[in-house]
Amino acid sequence: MNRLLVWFGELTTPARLYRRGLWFLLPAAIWILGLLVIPGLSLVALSFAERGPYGEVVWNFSLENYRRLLGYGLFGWSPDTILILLRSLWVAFVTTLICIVLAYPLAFFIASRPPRTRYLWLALVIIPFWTNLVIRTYAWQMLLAPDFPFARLAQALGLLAPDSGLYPSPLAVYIGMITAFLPFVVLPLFSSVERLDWSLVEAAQDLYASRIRTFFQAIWPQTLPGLTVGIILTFIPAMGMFVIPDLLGGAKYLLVGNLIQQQFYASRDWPYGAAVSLGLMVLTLIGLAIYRRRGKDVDLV
Amino acid sequence: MTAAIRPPATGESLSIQNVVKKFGDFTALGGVSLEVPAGQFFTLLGPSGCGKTTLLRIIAGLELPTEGRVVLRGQDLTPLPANRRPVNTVFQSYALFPHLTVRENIAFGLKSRRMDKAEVERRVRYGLEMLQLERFAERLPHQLSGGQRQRVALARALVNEPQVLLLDEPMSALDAKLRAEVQVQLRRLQQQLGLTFILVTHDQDEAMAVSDRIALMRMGHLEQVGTPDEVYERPRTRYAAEFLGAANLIRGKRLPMGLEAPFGKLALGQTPPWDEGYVAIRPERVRLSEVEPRQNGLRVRVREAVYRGAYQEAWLEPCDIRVRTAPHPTLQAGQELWAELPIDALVVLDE
Repeated sequence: MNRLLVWFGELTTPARLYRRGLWFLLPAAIWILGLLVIPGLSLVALSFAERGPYGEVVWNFSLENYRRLLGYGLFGWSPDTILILLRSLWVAFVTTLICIVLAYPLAFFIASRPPRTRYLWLALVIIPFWTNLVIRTYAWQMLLAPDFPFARLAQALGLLAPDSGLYPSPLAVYIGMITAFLPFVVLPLFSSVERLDWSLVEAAQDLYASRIRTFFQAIWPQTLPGLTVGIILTFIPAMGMFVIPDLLGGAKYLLVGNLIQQQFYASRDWPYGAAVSLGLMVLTLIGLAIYRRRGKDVDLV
Repeated sequence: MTAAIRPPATGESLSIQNVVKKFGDFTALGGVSLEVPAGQFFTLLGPSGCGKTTLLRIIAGLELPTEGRVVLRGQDLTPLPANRRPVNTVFQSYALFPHLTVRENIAFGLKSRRMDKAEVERRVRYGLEMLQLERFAERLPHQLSGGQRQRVALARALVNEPQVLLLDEPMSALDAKLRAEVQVQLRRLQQQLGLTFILVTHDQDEAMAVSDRIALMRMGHLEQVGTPDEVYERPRTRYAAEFLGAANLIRGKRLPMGLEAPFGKLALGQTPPWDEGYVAIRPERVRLSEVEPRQNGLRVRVREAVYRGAYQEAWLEPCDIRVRTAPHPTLQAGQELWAELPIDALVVLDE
């Protein structure tokens, strides 16, 4: 390995280059090992342990937590946990879908503004980030409260019982989730839309394409990179979200995030919490795998 | 099977009627009227910003004229959107769909029109064959060279059997050698198919090489329209004379059947319509000789001579005329001889 080599103008040997590379990788490796690999493995180990009578962890290997995850509890089988998992999947899916539908027109609107006002519009999208998520969610509690115009309107239309609010409810959870995640779809999508090659749109028009065909053949494929980032940034955190369903969903609309949080706090059942966390992780990875499989044909862009 | 899909149309023409296009305060086209006979290779030639691309885009339906109409075979196209016009475009950037293979790109227009599968298949095969793309049918655009992409763009437009094919500087991204080849191919293709081609270019050599007719444009209006040799041999304005090839411009005062130039009197084939103006002569039309010519002879000295291989170029004084002659015998700076400006080579310009 003592061959000489010129590396961007530097005279060196492959061995030296290799050693230097390892040094540069070290901080990241330590970081990942300490904050991802070790805690992850502990979580896996924990999920096979048991809860002691005082909420402590008892290191007895068992599959009990996974049995519970599949619904087998003290009182026989119940679909509750599976329902919570599926509901979380569904809420994350619907949230992502609605965010996408809302984000497209918004991204195109912003991208079509003249440069000076464009950044003003972008700032309006980003400003909610400057406020803490919990505070924003409390704000929705206020806005959806019984005395506020939204609830009043729903009451007047007979959609809501008199003197009740629009929260806690699944609707409130969706509103909270969508407003929280919309910027995560809009911003990456905007960066794709901004760089859109409009000559493809003209080519599609020139080749007799209808509006729908033009969108799906000339615009949609070009926005896929931004859309993919948006979907991942929305779907994964939405799967594990617990603040919004906790504050806006009430006890009847538990999501898996709330379930996990309960295990680690109120129930003091860390092993079961670990098992649920791993269940969520597996579910998320499956979701992403399906997305990547479906997107394979177009990912070549 | 390389027979044309559709028998060539003859006689019917594309007519541009007083087309004006304004972008805010800027007038891109200031009232252009043109007749393009069917089956011709027609070129819009001009420098960048002269409005040639805007005119092409108006024909394609990608731009709306501020005033005026575009009429094709008696049908007013102006109110039709781009996707309902029987014309197709080869874009400067080719604008191939990056996620579709060559085959799918070529089929795009046919599928948009919901043609039945067998017909799509037949035409795509025809398009691939016509432009020698069979080997690349399953490739994606980014796996092709510039020349191949350009052929895909051509095939994609041609399989739709447009009544007019619009080409927006399709060769500007190719290197000089390939460009010359493609020009010949394009010309051959147009003659085979008998289609009307409208080409936009700023390259006068390209325009001369491929066109039946050239429309020379300048600042949003037509400067001169004619066959390549008409435009080259009989330029009407200084702009036309200088844009197409090199020209010697001689300024002088009117004489009956002649010109009073700074270096002497020249006989012309006509009396100029102005009191003072320009006469043009192409460098290759100036004749050099050892003996005094019978008419329009000038005693000159070679100021500078440049050997160019296929020809040599020389600047003469005191008349400041540039000549282009056969490379032998080689001219030497300082050499004295006679230059003849033949009457039939002197063109009286309008302005």
